[in-house]
Amino acid sequence: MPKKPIIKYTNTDFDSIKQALVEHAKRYYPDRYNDFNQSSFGSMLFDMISYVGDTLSFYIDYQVNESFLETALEYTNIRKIASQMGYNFYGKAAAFGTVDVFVLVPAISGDLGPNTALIPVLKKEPYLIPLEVQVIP
Amino acid sequence: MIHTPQFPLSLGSKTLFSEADNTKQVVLFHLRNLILTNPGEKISDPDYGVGIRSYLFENITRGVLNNIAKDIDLAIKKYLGYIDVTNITVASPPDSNYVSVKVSFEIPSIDISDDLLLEVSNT
Repeated sequence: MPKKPIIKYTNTDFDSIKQALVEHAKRYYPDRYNDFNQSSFGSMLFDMISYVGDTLSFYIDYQVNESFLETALEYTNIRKIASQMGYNFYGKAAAFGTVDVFVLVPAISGDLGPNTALIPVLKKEPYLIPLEVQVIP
Repeated sequence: MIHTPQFPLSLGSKTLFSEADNTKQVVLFHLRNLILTNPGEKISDPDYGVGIRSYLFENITRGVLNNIAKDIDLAIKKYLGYIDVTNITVASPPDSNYVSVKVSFEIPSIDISDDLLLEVSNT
């Protein structure tokens, strides 16, 4: 029973795939094809097949790298792997805005003005809570 | 004997695709490919090709025609070392939109000599 041709699975880049294809043709089809010049029609076919092989190898490597947090590059993949590990990702907020906070400062009993004892507390964030607006006598 | 499919491909009687009839046909095919290929077009060798179409929009002068002939000669020496070029003639008639190339060659080892005639235009 004839043996199957040996396929080298370590050839993953353009040059090595083309080299392997040329060797394969020389070994198994010497009486069918023997024009290995750069200008030949077969050279174009070897180039195109090697191109496809190189592209497939690239994407296999890329997909494997994207499976691990250490080597993943794409944002969504990193987020999904982190999610598997229990990281809760809330994403971006749908909207944002500024909030004004008002505080009612009680007037001092028996007097007309505000309770001045609270002024040091209110002055901590004077730009957020303008005292003159907030104070209701 | 060179075994290679004839281009354009057609179904053959003995083999799946009909083969080139003789060596001269294969050599002419090689030469035509080399002259008409633009550098960068061939994946495995970006330097391969003369890129004659890149000259089509040049102002055709004697110097440009000489450059084309020189490029063809250099490319043949580099990629088709098995043939000896005896003469290269490049011409472009006035007010015409094409360049005609004639490459005369011989292969002494198998006693072949022939001319390749090409007219390259932008159509």
